[in-house]
Amino acid sequence: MTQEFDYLFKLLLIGDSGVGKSCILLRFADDTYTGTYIATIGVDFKIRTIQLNGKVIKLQIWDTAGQDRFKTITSSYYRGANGILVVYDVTNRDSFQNINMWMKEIDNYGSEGTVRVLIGNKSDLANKRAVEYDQGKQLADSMSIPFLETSAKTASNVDSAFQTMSEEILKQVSTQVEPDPKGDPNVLQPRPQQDKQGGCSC
Amino acid sequence: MSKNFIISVWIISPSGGLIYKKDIAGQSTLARGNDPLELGSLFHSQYAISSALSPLPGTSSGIESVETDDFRIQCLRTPTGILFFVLAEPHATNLERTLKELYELFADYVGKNPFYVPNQPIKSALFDKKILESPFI
Repeated sequence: MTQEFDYLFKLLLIGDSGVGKSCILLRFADDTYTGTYIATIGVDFKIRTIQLNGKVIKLQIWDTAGQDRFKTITSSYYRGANGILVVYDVTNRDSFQNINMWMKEIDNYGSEGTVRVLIGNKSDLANKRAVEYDQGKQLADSMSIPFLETSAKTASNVDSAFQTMSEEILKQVSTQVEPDPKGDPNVLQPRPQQDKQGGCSC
Repeated sequence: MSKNFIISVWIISPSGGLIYKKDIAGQSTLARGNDPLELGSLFHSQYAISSALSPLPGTSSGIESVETDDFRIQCLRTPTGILFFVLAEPHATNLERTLKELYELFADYVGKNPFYVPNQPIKSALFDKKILESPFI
């Protein structure tokens, strides 16, 4: 397994029960969709490989149960997550109002520097919409985190959500110098200049 | 056949991701692809559940060993949460020593490497070499 990939990122999906966390995961990892609701028992995960800046990255996405009774199990999975996608349902006002509660969960159980993205799912259900795009955007801006509206059903924006997240994480994880890609582990190569944008990496 | 009857060596990060796996004796029986990653993370969950099952919560370190007819698993968890485990032949002995050795090699050749990013896959030719050379693995 040593040469197959460069990074392994742990991502986490959280949010109220029924907002479509498992469907987003299924769409992203297997490109399938099912309309029937099946509650997640505890925790499940899937893996998808992507390429970013010439690096092969395995995204291991942990999908947690939204139901309250699983909270003791799911909170222990926040540890060490590189990124957390906080999901609400644009047709369900309550799920949007609970976002602050989910953010507190991350503060309590997550690690320092975890990248967060706010996701409004089910954007295809235009006539049932209960939360406007601007409201989601405003909330995300107030927390200085990226925001996307997705639809697991039509696959709209699902890939971009994970792409946005992976780019943010890669910026944090990659070091200033790395071993010579041609093989000699004792030779270090300075990274290209353009990669140094975006401030301090310490 | 490895001298100490070790089949493979696994390291799981505190966040539940497989960061290292080395087959010691011959070819891996696992299919390629993501199978090792999935099994490694599932074992992490099993380990966490076994700790939670303790009648005195928070006191159990979790699974120490698993024995089957065909192989055994022996685990070591560091105070920082890194989980080492080895798969070995059923008649292998002194696996605690093997794990201690593995932990020491990890500390010396991974932990002290300034370019190693914690929780990320371990890619060190030197670490590989030291594992294969070790008299306990």
